[in-house]
Amino acid sequence: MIMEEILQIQERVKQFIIDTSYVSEDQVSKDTLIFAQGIMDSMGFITIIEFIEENFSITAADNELLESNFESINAISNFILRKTHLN
Amino acid sequence: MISRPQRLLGEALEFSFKNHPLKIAAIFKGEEFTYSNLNESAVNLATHLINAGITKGDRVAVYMNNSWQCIVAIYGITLAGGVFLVVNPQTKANKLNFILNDCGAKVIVSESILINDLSQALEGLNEIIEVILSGTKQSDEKYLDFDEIILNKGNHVDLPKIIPNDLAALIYTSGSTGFPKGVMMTHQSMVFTSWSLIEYLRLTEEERIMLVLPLAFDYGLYQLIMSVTIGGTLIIEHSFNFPPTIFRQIEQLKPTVFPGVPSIYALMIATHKKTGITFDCIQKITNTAAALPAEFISDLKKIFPNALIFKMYGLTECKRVCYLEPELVDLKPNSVGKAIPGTEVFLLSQDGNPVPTGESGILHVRGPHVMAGYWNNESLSKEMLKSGLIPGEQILCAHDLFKLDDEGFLYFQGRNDDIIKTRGEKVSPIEVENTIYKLSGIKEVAVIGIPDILLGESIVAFVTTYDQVQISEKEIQRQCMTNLEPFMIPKKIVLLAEMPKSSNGKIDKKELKQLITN
Repeated sequence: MIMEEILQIQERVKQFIIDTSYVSEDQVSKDTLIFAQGIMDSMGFITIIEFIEENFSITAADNELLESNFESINAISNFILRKTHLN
Repeated sequence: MISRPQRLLGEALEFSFKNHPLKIAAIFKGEEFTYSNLNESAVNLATHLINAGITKGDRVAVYMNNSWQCIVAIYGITLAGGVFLVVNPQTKANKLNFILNDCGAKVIVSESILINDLSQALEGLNEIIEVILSGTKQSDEKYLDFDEIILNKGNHVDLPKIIPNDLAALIYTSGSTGFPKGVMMTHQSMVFTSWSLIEYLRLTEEERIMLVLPLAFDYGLYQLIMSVTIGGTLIIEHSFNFPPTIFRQIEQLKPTVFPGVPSIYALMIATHKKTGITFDCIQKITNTAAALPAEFISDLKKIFPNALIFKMYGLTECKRVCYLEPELVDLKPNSVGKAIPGTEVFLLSQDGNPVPTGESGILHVRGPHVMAGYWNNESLSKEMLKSGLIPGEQILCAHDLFKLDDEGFLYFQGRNDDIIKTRGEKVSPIEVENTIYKLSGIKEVAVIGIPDILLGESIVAFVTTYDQVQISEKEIQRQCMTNLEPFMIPKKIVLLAEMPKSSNGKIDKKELKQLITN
């Protein structure tokens, strides 16, 4: 179940990254470092936070705004999964 | 006793190292590096470069992200007598190849994370004697290990004798022809400029400067140069891409100086309005690249309650033109102030005559900070450098339009050529147009800049396609992303059925500008 859920979340996050940045599907993998490689910039960070708030009803606390939670599609998806299962 | 004056860029490191070897010169990823560390690493790299065959005036490219390694590379190259050029790590293979070829780089210092674009860019370049990589050890023997080189003393060599007239750096910037051009800066001009900036920014050796801007951008590069010159501490960040990391670093490391651009300040203001975040430790903030909107000032004063706010204006060809004294920020909200110390500016009409106060004129800049010209490009150099007041002197014609008020304060009015200035970087419309033309089905492209409160100018591309060809805005932006640096990607793509033309058949960019601004 969890596996299926994480794949779905990853797909939605990936689609969001592709829609809001200029990369194509083949240029971004689940492990691509989206901030370190400049795919997302500081405005992109704001849109990611809004995206997870609106789509997953998650609010990231200040101490959770760590690059390790947002650095890649995988990291963001894991963060969403952790938070939704805590709620 | 009279102390020896600083004449060369590398002497700043020598002096700061001798004055306080154990002081922290740089902080990167939680690690502290002393002036002794920086001096030793830079000398080790210089020794290696000289043994490898680098002689005075040879070009050495640095293609790296902001890092400790990047600053060691810059000072190592300068101590070896080389001319460094820091290339934006987001530069793609084609353009990197052009730049390396144009300057005839002999050695490239880079990092393994950038190997894809770098290895493509190296194709066909025969003058390169070495490629040195930092990061994960490469199994490929054609690359040397940067991290090992800077730890090793190597065979002793005498560092070359450089004089202030020698070239110190090339800073590549977009050109009207669509190809980047290398701004030549001598040691003399860079040392002069760094001291002029230090003077008006009132920097002391107590400063801790936070660097979130790329070292490939002259605004970023001079933070390093100033910090080493005053013997301060530079807090090096990869970028501002992930703001919470920067906010946390400010709270922990307590920088005193924060150099930013309007888009960074806009995000800080938005965060402040949401969370009330403030940074009491910051004593000076600086802005250039695009005019700081007057309405930002009151919010910035809340975020940085103890900071002086410096509004500045510049262009790569002379680094910085002017600054506004922070005490005048409310009195002259739309001005970028007066010429930096030791320089002067004046406004001339198209036909070269002085313009009366209050009227718009082309900015001309006079002083030791003016570039020596563009590398290998005499005709473009002549367009920018004009005969000065003294026989043989060269002054810079900035192609920017300004007004002066009756107290001599400068007001930016717009640009006098086609070049777009966005996020402080120049963008050649031709370069973007040529990239879009490579997509099949494209009939005509016209790229223009329109005023943008955060970016200075925002890039818009107008596109027509051949009949039946369907092409999306996103496809065009992706084509740009694959071939250009992110700041060059058009924010907006407008698909037109027909391109407006002037009577001689050329695309009418004035009409396009009207179309978009209406």
